[in-house]
Amino acid sequence: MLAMAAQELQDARDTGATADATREADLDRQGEILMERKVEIDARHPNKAIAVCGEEVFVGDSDDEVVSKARAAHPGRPYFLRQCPLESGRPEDAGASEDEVDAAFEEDLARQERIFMDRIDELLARYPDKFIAVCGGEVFAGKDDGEAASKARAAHPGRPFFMRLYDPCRRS
Amino acid sequence: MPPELIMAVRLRLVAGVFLDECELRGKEGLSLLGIVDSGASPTYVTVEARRSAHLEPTGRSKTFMCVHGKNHAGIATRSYYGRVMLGTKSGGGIVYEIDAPLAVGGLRVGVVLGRDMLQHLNVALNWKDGTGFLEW
Repeated sequence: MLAMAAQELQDARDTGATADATREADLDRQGEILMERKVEIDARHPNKAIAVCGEEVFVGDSDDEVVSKARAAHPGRPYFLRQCPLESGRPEDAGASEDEVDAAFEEDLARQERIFMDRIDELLARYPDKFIAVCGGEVFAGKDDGEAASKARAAHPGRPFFMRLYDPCRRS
Repeated sequence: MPPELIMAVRLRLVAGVFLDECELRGKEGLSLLGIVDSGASPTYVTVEARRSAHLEPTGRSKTFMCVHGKNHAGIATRSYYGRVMLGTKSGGGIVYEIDAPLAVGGLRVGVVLGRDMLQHLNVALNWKDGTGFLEW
């Protein structure tokens, strides 16, 4: 009985290994098709999401769309996805260019750094063994970077912060 | 004696960053863009990319906080022990995932290739004329 159970277990393992190998080979084939047809696909469908499944090519505007198409056409088979290359929800969509957002971010960050540097002696004396974040013109101290950053983010969501990292190894 | 076969891929320079096409394989396959970042110690993937490839993290993980850059300022990041392949080279070690969308010049990026991977390759980045190659 024990021998039979062991044999059944081995059979189950063999079947599982075979299924894994078959799936792996299927996935390899879909990847090869994507590579072989890359030039054609890029030319015909630039900036689109692509999925290859069951030797078929599926095209869509989003990853979810092409994955749904692939799964509907070939349930249970692996697919090779080329992500939609365009970033969604870009800052331009909200009316500001990426450069403008970057510049505003950098300016805000530089302002927080200046505030820290202007008050550095006072802040280091006040928080000698703390991590110090400056955000939105306010100072937040914590026992570690996570605590200081959490306080800053809670007070000023989405704004950059300047962080002074406390290194206990350098403590004199 | 036959000459040693050298494989190389040409990198794209976009918005001041060299990009390479990479593959992630899990239960599903994923073709995505990666940043060649010779200044980064570890290689990491976005959570979105890992999930798209249906890769499940295994082994130890820990959460830490990155505070040194715009894209990952204040974002909790998990790290795992894993294996990454690029071309015919692979390396084992700590693999990080970052729960943030990464983009370069409006293009989605899913992988940042750090020195732990790049050390196995010959990396040629020519900023002056905008050309770059990875050779192995």
